Amino acid sequence: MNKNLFDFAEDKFLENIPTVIANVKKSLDQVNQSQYQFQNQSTDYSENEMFQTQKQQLVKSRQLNSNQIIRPITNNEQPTYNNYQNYSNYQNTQSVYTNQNGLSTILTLSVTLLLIVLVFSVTFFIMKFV
Amino acid sequence: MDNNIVSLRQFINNKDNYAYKTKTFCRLMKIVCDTIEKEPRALVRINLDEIKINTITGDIILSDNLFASTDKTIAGVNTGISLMADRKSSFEHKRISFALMLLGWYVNEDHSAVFNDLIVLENFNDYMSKVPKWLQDYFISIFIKMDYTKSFSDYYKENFIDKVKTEIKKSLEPYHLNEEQMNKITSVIVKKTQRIMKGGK
Repeated sequence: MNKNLFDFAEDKFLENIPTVIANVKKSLDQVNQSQYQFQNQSTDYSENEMFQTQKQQLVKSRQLNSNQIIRPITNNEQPTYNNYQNYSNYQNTQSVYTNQNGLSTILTLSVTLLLIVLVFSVTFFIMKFV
Repeated sequence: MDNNIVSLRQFINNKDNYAYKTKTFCRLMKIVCDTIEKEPRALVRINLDEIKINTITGDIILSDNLFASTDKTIAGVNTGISLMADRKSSFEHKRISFALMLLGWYVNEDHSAVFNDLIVLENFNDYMSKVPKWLQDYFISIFIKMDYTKSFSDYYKENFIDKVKTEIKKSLEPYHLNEEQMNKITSVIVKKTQRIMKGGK
């Protein structure tokens, strides 16, 4: 017969419980620590992944942008997510060029008209009073 | 006779051979105590060898010769247990008889019940050195304080089962475990402790 099991087993059981609890707590702490690290790693990974995706998108966007500069803008073309920024810049640049050209034409015409008016005025004055 | 019904002593001696196993002697005694307490007949004597167990169901079987037809026990006659039994009710006698049987397991070489409560008082210190520490208060309340309000079953639950549960619960409080997790961890702790008791790691 296993005397230990039936005679003083209960005392031994109670005496050993705190040690076993301490060991289990240690294991739980280790599990919690591992979980914490895993969660942090997964956050890093997702951030890294996001960064990589953004980087790829940027490269793609630049490629698209370079294509767009060469390609003329068609009528009713809607900007897409990837090339919206570039489309907008391109459109703005175009409008600036258009405005500059119009101003110089108006200036040229005004100066010419002024010169013609001046020539006619001088001619009329000479003919009448000289 | 049913081969599955054996005496408690046979059951304990051959414990490892049976499918139904009791983890500790006291856990088995808790079942015996509950069975005796539920028994309406007046107990006149108690002997481990006359209590049987069904090894399949775990049911405790009490033989008829453990009981008297009267509701009072007679001191020194037929009981062989308590000289003061005639001053006790059947209820008190049951509790003393059970305590004598339990004490006999620890103090007598053949694990037979202690003959009577006067012998316990005469050898009290010697007997207490032979019983588990957590169980000493139980014998103090029965034999010294003569307080029979608490059964062994209640004492075992309060000072062993619940004590262990409370200790585990208190220690693991900071982890905020749910009930299912707590039950699983408690089971792991108990099994691990039992392995250590048996010499394992």
